[in-house]
Amino acid sequence: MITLPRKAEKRQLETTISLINIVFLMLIFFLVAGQLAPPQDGQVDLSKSEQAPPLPPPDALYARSDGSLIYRDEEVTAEAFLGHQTQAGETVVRLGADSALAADKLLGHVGALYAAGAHKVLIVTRKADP
Amino acid sequence: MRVEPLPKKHRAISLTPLVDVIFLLLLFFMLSSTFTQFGQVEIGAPAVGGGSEALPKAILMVEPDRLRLNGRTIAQDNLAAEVSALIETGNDSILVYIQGSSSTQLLVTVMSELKTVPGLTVTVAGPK
Repeated sequence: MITLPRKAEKRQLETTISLINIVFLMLIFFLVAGQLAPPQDGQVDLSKSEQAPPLPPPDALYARSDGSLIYRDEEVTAEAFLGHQTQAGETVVRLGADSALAADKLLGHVGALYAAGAHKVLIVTRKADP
Repeated sequence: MRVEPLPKKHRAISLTPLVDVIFLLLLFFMLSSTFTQFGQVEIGAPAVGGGSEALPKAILMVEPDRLRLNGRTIAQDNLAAEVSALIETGNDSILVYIQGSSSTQLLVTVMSELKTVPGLTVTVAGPK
């Protein structure tokens, strides 16, 4: 009986397995450490606060520094926004105001939101380390 | 003649589709998650003209470069202490009057500072 020498098996799997390992670890990390965030307005730089009570990532109404109101990437008015919110049974408004927004414009927005029927207006801030 | 069946060859599972899916999941979670910590500061309803509410017992003027409590300029770091001293003398409500040129950041800082003082009623007003 003749035995033919076998070709050594190619072993190429190693690199793939380590790649998968790392990618899998990153996946687990982002799953555990991150929080799914509703869309945020890229032009708004929230004001910082140290002692404000924490808030989960909000589906907020954003006020840009030029005074326009943005909700889910579309410009809205306070009345239209409140009309949409009250249909959903939600009357607490989370307002993400740009830190450079002039205070009279901010108070104008807040006043318009209360006048349109908001129950409570919360300014969303970014928590900074004290 | 008896023929031995060939030993079954265990083919390694192809890892490419697995990697593909995991990579897509990773991308999704990387792009849609946030690590920002958010906070909230409540702004009460602005005072309505009509005079049915009780008058505030103290007034804090917020100007872009200084704070004035009852007309006296105070440092921002002392705000909580000054207001606590006011409460001890029975002045438990305060009107925050903010000048138009001040920024939202300043208002948020002042409001969250006032929030730390227990038993204080805060009203916000500004130029209309």
